Parts: sequence; structure tokens; C-alpha cells
Amino acid sequence: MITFEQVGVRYTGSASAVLSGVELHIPEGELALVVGRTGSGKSTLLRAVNGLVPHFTGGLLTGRVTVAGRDTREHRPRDLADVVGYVGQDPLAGFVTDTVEEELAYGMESLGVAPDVMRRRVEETLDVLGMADLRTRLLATLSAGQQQRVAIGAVLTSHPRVLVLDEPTSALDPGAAEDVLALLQRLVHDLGTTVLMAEHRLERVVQYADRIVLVPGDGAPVTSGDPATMLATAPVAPPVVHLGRLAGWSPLPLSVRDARRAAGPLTERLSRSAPAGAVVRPLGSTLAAVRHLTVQYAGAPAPALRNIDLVLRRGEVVALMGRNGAGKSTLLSTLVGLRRPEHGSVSVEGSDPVSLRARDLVRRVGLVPQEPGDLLWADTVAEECAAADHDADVPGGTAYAIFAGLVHGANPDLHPRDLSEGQRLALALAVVLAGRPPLVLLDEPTRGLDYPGKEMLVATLRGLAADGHAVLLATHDVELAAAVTDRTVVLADGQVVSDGLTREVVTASPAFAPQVAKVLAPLPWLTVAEVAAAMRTA
Amino acid sequence: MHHLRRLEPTSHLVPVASWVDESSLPQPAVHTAAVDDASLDRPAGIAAAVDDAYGGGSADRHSVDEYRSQHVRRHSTGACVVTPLTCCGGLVGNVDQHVRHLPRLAALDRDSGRRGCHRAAGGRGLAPGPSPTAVAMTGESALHPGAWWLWVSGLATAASRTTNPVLLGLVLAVAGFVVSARRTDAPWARAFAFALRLGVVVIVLRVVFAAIAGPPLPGRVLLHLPGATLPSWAAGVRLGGDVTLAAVITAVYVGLQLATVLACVGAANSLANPRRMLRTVPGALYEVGVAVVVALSFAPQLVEGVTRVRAARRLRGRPHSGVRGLRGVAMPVLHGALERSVDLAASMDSRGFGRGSGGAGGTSTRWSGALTLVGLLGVCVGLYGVLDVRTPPALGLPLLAAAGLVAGVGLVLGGRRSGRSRYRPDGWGGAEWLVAGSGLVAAVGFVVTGHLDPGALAPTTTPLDVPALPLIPAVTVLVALLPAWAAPAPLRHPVVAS
Repeated sequence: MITFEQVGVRYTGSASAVLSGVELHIPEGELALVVGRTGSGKSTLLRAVNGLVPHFTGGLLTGRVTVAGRDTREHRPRDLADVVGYVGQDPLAGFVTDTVEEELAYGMESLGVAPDVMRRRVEETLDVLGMADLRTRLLATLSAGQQQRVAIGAVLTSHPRVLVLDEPTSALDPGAAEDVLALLQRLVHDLGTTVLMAEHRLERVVQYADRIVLVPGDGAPVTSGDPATMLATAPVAPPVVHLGRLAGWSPLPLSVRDARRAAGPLTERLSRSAPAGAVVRPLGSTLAAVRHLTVQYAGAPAPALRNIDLVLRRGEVVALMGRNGAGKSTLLSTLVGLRRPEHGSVSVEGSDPVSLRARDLVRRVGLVPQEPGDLLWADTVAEECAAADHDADVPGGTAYAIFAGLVHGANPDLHPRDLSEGQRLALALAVVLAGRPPLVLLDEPTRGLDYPGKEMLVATLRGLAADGHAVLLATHDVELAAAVTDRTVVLADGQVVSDGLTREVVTASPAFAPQVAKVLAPLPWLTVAEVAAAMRTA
Repeated sequence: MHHLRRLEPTSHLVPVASWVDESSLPQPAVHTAAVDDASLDRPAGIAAAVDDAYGGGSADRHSVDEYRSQHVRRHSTGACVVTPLTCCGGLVGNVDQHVRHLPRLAALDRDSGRRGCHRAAGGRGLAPGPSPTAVAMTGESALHPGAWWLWVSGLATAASRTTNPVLLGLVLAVAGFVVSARRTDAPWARAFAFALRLGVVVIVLRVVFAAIAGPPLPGRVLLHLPGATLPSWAAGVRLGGDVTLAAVITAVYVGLQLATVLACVGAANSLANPRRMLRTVPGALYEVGVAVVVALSFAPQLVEGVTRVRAARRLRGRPHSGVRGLRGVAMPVLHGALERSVDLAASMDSRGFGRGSGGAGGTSTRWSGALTLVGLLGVCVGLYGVLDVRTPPALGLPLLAAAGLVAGVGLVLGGRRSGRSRYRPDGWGGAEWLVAGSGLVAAVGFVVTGHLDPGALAPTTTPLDVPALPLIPAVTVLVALLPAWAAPAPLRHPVVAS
């Protein structure tokens, strides 16, 4: 269905090729997963399928890409719209109209589909998406998971034979991600749609894949094959595969279910010991306290946060979890004084962040927002760091030293927008940490971050906690929460519904349990690292 | 059954489902108790869970039944989306066992479990029922937006013909009544209230300028402002001096007229979705329509971008207001807007935008473009001729008709080459004729009165006179109340707190 023959891509003004010599054949009806580190060329590969590379992006494409027999050299993206459905990373940015129904019809209108056929397909697609009761809703008012499903539905109505998705579940909470993946699964099985998808959260998707396409980057050849074979050696792999490699299971399990079936001996062995991380470290003094906090957005029917009580102590890393829209970001912005509470109080080191001057604020509490790029506006990394030193009133070079500690071989002359996702997060973190705020807040730090990037983040956060900082981390990433946090707070509908040790909270709820916990349940192990440590000592 | 077999292992919730499988019910309860024991060191937990498992807590039995019924449904319909269903049974089952240990978490999970259930039911059409999570919907009035715009144009034409405050008040009242009866809950429905506030500002400004620099009118002097004698080349311009009652009243009349026209435009925006109006543009103008739609959606995004970047500046301890703050805010916001527009363009290109019309750059395109442009220019001049009494009659209706014809031919020619089709176009029926017609009646009533009895529409202020209430315009403007009943009621969706 999709064929790449000796394909190379080089963007204008770039010294090296993004892709070269790609040979790839994806048969009809397969779900192929594209994996690789950030910046390795995954998006370029996906965009080459429907001709966005090079027709839209510019640059030079050598070799030949054919989809359903059509050569992308002769067909522009719009000429392939009836064969390839492309869903970009941010669904909201790709919406052309403003209601669900019109968005679903937009592609068909462009293709000139007859009105009665359009009407029928919209109804069918609403059923496939499970969104018939949301048909007249404004797209902007939908949850992130619903938006992603509408974006997929909007290309489905044109009945494409190939669906190309760039990180469809990265921004979603576990439940919404399940909905989207169930939809894709259904398309592959019922309609025979060929799906090509890039995703960093392998633990969510790898068990659905029929084929894995590995894009290693740095000019190394693109390879593809059976998931178990590919993942045995791939540099990126979900925890369940790492556990399988560690325990020497063969064939390598890709799903929790397969792993559980193989895990008998391991479970027995581990049941004799307890994970090293289970010993609770003594906590420091109270750093920040939230009392009876209620926050209401103007015009919203219900308050975003209701009567929240929360205490953060020095030396702890706390995960803040919950569905999209549960109030996580609101709580963070209240803690940093961006939002004035309706009721209740917030205090950080004894003072109310709303009343602090910006200059004093940066030395008490730092927030890395959901889009770390928001914090960065200088032209080079070096300038950015110098500005941060100046803002925080610390000796020159402080911020850059932190950045260089996080990113090896960093180039200070790069533009922040040219950094990879992980490097940009590191830079934003360095900028925030320059003032050494005792309270550090992070909003969805792993969105778009690959596994090495996550490892860097885990090590950094651990170091901060050891230095006596308190870290509050809003995240959907259960693996990250399991790896780095001591305590987890779960929000739902603006209320705290659970607040306890991470080990206790995530193992109690299947939606938040990391893969290792699911495999080894009922044993309380959370991460591969814990298991590895236990196996070394045993 | 191939897909079912393949699907089973895919759910991350499968182990959970196996916990509540009825055959293994006592065992999983002990499992979870063991988890609690190890992590919580809470011996009471074991006792409670064992009690649940063997003593048979009623919650558990309920959840197993629920699970079984979902399970059966799943097989009987051959449905493929397993996850939410499994989730429903699995979550509820598992969580109920934890009720005593973690009551707050249990509440969440039961909630999310049920939601999953609703979602799945809605999605698969297994058990249709009202969604519990309805949030503010976009109530759409079923009337063609063009009908509302024609009605409003009628009222605005009427208002532009008179400075009689009684008649203007009547027009305002009619517009306000219809808006309150037939507006939707959508964000743009607040446009009328905004227009009214803007109107008050217009009147105040008008009075202030009339007092300071308006032409001197005779009559009772209200107050005396210090004046300035201007050089001879500025003769005719007055600054300060006496402020007379007549000058103030005249300013109020003229200001009220402008405010009424503004309110009419606000009424149109309250009653008709501006985007739906744009959807009705002819195919030949489609690209222009899309550009306007995209621009409309960018405004709120820019506002959001500004908020985000200002917040980020505060986070870095920078000034986020003032001139220095402005540059720091503007650049990242523009960067963001540019990136979004590139994303949007990629999305539109991938979805076939411009597919039909591409490559047809021949003479027919040029002809249809030229005809449309000339025609629309003619329409503008013609409208001016119709509305302005002093222009020669030939510039009025005849030009308007001829130009409309030319533009129409251009649009039809242009529309023919576009390969697009239209999803659920708005229909034009009896209600549309009534609404548009009632607005037209009001306009005609005022125009006719303007020719028969100009004095009734423009009450004199020198000498000051009590404005009369002429019969014909008053009756015709009341006809424009018709849409309050003739137009179908907007679909107002209940706003249910989730």
C-alpha cells in the first residue's frame, strides 16, 4: 500500500539529509508503528507519505514514494486527499471549521462528494467515533481526547485507504488514549485501513502494532519488521519489553498479558524481597500549603478547583494526575500566583504568590509550562541563559551550567526553536532553576519527550529532591510518575480524590498503574530499575 | 472472531478484568489485599478484603453481574471496541474492593468507570441514552442566516432614515425584543448587549464633541465653556463657547441614530452565526470566505497566546505590561500564530483544499473574476445611490440591479469551475421570506414617509419641538416584530454540569 524506494530527504539550508536510502513497504491493512528518538525524522517520514514533504515543506526528495499506486512526485497532498488521511500532532491547530459536524464534512466538501453521500458518511462516522451526541458542539469546547477523535474522524469521512497519524496519544490521559487506540484498532480490523503512526508512548501502542518501523536518525538506515524482533534490539522500548529483556523471556512479550503469562518464576523470586524504593524517606519541613482552595473561571458552570487542601514538603516529588480538564494546570498556575483564588489561601514559604513581585517570585517558585517554548524568546541558547541569570539576579553562567549539566554536547549558539523537544525542556528547566526556587512545578513535561529525554528528566528531578526542593509534576505519564515520585495526588472534577504514596495509589487503580506493576501484580514493584536492582542483589 | 481474539490482549486493563472474573473472585480479592498489605502496612486491609471476598460484599456481586452483562453484550453484538466495556466492569469491580481502604479514590474510579460505560454505550449504540456530560452547546437557530441579515438591513435602513428619537427607540425595542426571543446560547449571541454599550459610548462622545466643537445653535444656553479664538484660516470651526440645549439635543438625536444602526448589526450577530453566514457565500468567493473564517478563528487564539506569554513572562520575573513588556509578548505570540497557521495550511492541503480549482487559470477564470469584481463595485455604488437622497436617481436602483446581474453572472461562472460540494446547505423557505419581508416592510415604511412627510422623521431642534409619532413608520416597524414568532426557536441545549 505504501512503498518507499531509495527515498532521501534533505531540507533547504540543512547540511545533512534527514532521511536517506529508505526502503520500506507496508502492505494493505497493517498497523505500522514508527519509532525513533525525537528529531530522528519520524515526522518527515510520515509527511512524505501524503506528499506534504516536499510539496508543502520544501526541500529535496530523492527516490520514489508511492501510495496506492500514486507517485507523490506527481500528486500534491490535495490530490492524495481521497487516499491518505493525515492527522497532525496538534488536532486543534488542524481544525478548519468550528463544530464537530462541519469539521467531519470539510474534507468531503473539498473532494466534491455528493450531498446525500456526505450526510450518510457523517452519520456513520459519528457512530464510529461514538460522538453522535456531540455533533453540534464547538470544537474548542471538546476535551483533548474528543478533539483527537474528531481529527481522525474528519479524515475518515473521505474514506482514505491509508491513515497517517503523528503522535495521536501524546497529549491524552490514559483513558482518552485508550479510546483513540480502540478506534484505530477498529478501523484496521473492520475496514482494512492501513495505519502508519508515530508515537513516543510505546507502552500504550506497541501491542497493537503489526509492524515496527525504526527510524534511528543520524543517517543510519531505516529498518522495519515484526514488533518482537525489532524491539529486542531497538534503542527505544516500553517498560514491559525492558522487563522481558531483563528476565530473558523469549519470545519477548509486547503486552502486559503476554508478560504476565511469562512472569510466574520472576514473580515468585521477587515475592521474597521488597522494592528498594518502598522505604519512605523522611520528609523535610512544609514548603507550600494550599488551604480550602476554590478557583472559578469566569463564565464556567462549575469551579475548576473545589476546596483543595494540599501540603508540599521539602525533598519530595509529587505527581499530580487526573483526566484532561480535571484542574491540574489550574492548581499549578494558582501555586505560582497566576490566578487569584476565589476562596482559600495559598502560601509558598509563608507568602502569598499572587502578592509577590515577579522578581521575588522567581526565587520562591518556578513553573515549567506545558509548552516549554513559551518561556523562551531569545535568539540563542546563550542569550536565553544570560537573560535568566539577569532576571534571577545570580552570577553569570549559572543557568548555562545547569543546561550543560542536563544536555551533553549542547551548542550555545542554537536558536531555542531548533532544539529537540527534550533539549528545549532542559533549557526551560535551566531557566527556571537559575533562581533556585525551592518549589518547582512542571506541567506535562513528557509530552513529545522520548525515553532518553525522560531519563534525563528523572535524574534531574531526583537531584532536585535530594537538594531539598519540592517538585510538583502534573502528568499523564504513569511510567514517569512511578519512576520519580514519592507521592501521588489525583484530581477529578476539581477535587482531590486521592492523595497518598505513589506505590499505594497507582497500584490501587488500573488506569494509573505502570506496566511493571500490572505484570507483577499483586507485588508492589513499579519500575524495571527496581526489579533490576533486586535481581542484582538476590 | 479474529479481531476479538486479537483485541483481548490489547487492553491494559485485562489483568484487572481477570481479577473480577467470577471463577477467580476470591483469589483476586486476596491479591489486592496483599498489595495493600505490602504498601500500606495496614493489617485491617487484609481483613476487610478477605471479608469482601468470602463474605461476599454486595458491591462485588453487583460488579460481577455488570461485568458479565457487558461481556455478553460484547459477544452478542460482535463489537470490537472492547476496552471501555472491559473498563466498565473491571474498574468497578476492582475499585469496589478498595472502597474501605481508599474511599476517595474509589469514588473517582467508579465515576470514571461509569463514564467509560456511557461512552462505550453511546459509541456502539448498545444502550442509547442521554450523555451525562453535556456541556454548553452551540445553539443554532434553524433559520437561514441570510434572512436575519436582510431583516436587520431593513431595520438599519429604517434607522438611517430618521433622527426621531421615538421612532429610533421603537426600532431598538423591536430589535431587542426579537433578539431576546430568538437568540442562541453561543458566544457571539452576546453581541447585541455589546452593541448597546458601544451605542451609549457613541452618544456620549457625540454630545461631548457637540458641546466643545459643534456648530453654534441658537436657544437656551445650558453652560458657558471658555472659548478660544481661532485664526482666520480656521473660520467656521468653533472651540468652546456657549453650549445650548438645542445643540445637545441634536447631538443626542444623531448619536442615537448611529447607536441604533450599531445595535442592528449587533442583533444580526446575536441571531445568526457569522460563520454560517460565511458558509453561504457563493462558490466563486469560497477562498475569500475561508480566509475570513480562518481570520475569525485566529482572533481568540491570539488572545489566548497573549495570555500564555504574559504568564510566562511573569514566571521569568520580567515585566509583562508596559512598552518594554509589549515587545517581549508580541514576538512569541506572532511566532506561535505563524506556526499554527502553517499547521492549518498543512491540514487544509492534506484534506483536499483547492483541489477542484487548481490549474484552471484560463480565460474563463479571468472573465468570471472580472465580472464579479466589476459587479460588486457597481453594487456598492448602487447601494450608496439608493441610501443617499441627493444622488441622481440613475445611480440608485437601476445601477444596483444591473450591477447585481453582472456580479451574479460572474459568481455563477466562477462557482461552476469549483469542484466542491456543500454539506447541509441552509434552506430558504416560508419563515425566511417572512423574516426578510418584515424587515423590508419597515425599510419601505420609512423610505416612503421620508418622501411624503420628511418633517415627521427629522424633528426640529430650533425651535425645540416635542417629536411626533408618525403613524406609517410606527406601524411598519412593528411589523418587524414578526420574526419573534415567525422564526423557529433556536435549539437551546440544556447546560448540564458534568
